[in-house]
Amino acid sequence: MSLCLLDEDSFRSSCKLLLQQSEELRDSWTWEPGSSEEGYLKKIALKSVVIDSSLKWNLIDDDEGEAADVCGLSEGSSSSQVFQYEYHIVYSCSYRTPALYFRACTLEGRSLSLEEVWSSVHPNLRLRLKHCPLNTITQQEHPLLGQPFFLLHPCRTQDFMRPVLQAAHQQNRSVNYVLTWLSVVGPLVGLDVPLHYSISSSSTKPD
Amino acid sequence: MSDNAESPTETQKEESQAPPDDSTSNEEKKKIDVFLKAVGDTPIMKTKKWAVDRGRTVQSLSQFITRFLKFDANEQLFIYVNQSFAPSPDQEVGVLFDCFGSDGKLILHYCKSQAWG
Amino acid sequence: MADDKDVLRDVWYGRIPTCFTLNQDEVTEREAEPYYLLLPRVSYLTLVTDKVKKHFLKVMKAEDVEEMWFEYEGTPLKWHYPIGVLFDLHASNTILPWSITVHFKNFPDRDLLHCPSNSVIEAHFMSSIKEADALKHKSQVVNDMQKKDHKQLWMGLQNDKFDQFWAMNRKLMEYPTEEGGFRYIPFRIYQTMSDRPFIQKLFRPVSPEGSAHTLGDLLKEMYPAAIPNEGEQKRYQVVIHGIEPLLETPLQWLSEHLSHPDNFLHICVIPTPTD
Repeated sequence: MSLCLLDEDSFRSSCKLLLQQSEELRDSWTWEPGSSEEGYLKKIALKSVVIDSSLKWNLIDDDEGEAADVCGLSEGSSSSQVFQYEYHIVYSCSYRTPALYFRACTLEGRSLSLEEVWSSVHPNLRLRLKHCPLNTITQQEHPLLGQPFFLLHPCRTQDFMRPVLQAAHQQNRSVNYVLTWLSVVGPLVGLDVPLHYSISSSSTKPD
Repeated sequence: MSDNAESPTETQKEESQAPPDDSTSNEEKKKIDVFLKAVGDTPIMKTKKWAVDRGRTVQSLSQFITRFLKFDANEQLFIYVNQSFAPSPDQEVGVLFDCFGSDGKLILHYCKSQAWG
Repeated sequence: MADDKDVLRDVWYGRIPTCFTLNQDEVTEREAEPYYLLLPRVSYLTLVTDKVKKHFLKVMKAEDVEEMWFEYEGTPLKWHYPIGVLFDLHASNTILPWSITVHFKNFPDRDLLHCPSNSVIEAHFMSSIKEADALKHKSQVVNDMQKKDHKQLWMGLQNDKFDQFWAMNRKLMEYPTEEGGFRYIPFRIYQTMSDRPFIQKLFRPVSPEGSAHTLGDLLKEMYPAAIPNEGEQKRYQVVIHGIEPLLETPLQWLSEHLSHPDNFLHICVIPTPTD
């Protein structure tokens, strides 16, 4: 019935677990605002987007000033810009799922438009994003901060979570809803969710 | 071998690469055994075990499966390791094997989701 | 009740007399006259101000014109809030007409959403309707509607056609008789006294014992400060569509009759004027 729905308490405890793992993996997620019960998970990441002459998009993750994984360097003249991305995981009581809000700006503080933000999304995904209503990105007001953010719409989350949760339920296995959800939606908006979350996650059910 | 994200449809690129074959002998270090398991109502693949190049990406594998199972344009495929974690589409299966493989194979669960038309 | 239909019409046709003045820092070729307009409470600023834009563009050069935005006494006005909500929240208890300042430069993108076209307004409006139905009917009613039905809701609002809108919207206002009301009431409580833009949580129209929840019950749960204690002076006004409904009013009735076209009950809590 409501397997694919997440109540607010479960959201909080799933986030707590994710936070613990994030600390172990040094992934820089935080709970905002600090001590408050009602809050959200937040992560800030610097990204350097490289545009080369043949309009191929490449990505160099640049957390904490260290060049991390480099995928697909290209030849030819290129210009790169560093943008600051901010991701928030907020609970949606209307849809009873987590919702991913994000925004990006230049280092000088200029907000990025949706088109510019899309440049950080893997080209294959951009096509999928454009055609699939599951993954609608629109500009919305952040429900707790009141500022403009982009939102990956949560109305279809239940549909893709359901089979995974049902299978887990049948096998008496526990699943961290927020982590599973994040692993699916994160890459769609350029958010890296390291594999190690899945390795280090214990099978204790979040309570 | 790495997948190039150049063309949106990748059909030509796909066919020029050797598709995963279901032979039981792999060149050491170059191919890994992948076992594909369906979740829920998702159609089951007749051939479940595939030898896949280590450098093949999740995205590429996903495209292969959707074509093999003849998905509609509005159907989406999700792939999971550990039955609950979706690896990034540009993740190489070789890395997944190293992290999650056991008994010489990598088990990947896949799942179909109906999106609106 | 025949009266209830009148309430629907009164809500739909609510208007706010407004005076639009060009920000004095804008570069103009000659003096810009203010522009007067009756704004529909239930619509959105960017949907009904084409005439305002045309009026001021007459005295400006194209290169000095960027995205238009509105401000009241220093506060950028959020176009994605219904006009009536903006007025009740920021300018009720002030003398009419409502004085709004128009800007064509320095768009405050940390405060306001962009509105490049009407389809953005439509998407936002439909998104609210879908969210409201997720709360009322687990999305069943809105998902059973066809694309053309959704379009009818939007066109009704855009073209100010009450009958066209309500022919479709009445479906979103139905509920199984045995339930006594919607699953949850779509509402948002706004106040200017905190950083938080609004309060929105799950709240049922009927208690587990079967009695109807009232506006007062909602506020007690969500914003107790809005309700004065025994003997205390009333510090706040609870305003919906410019009026203060009695706290005893059943919430289900309010949701069916005083919601905005987006199917949300928008409630403003503002400090009582001290004069």
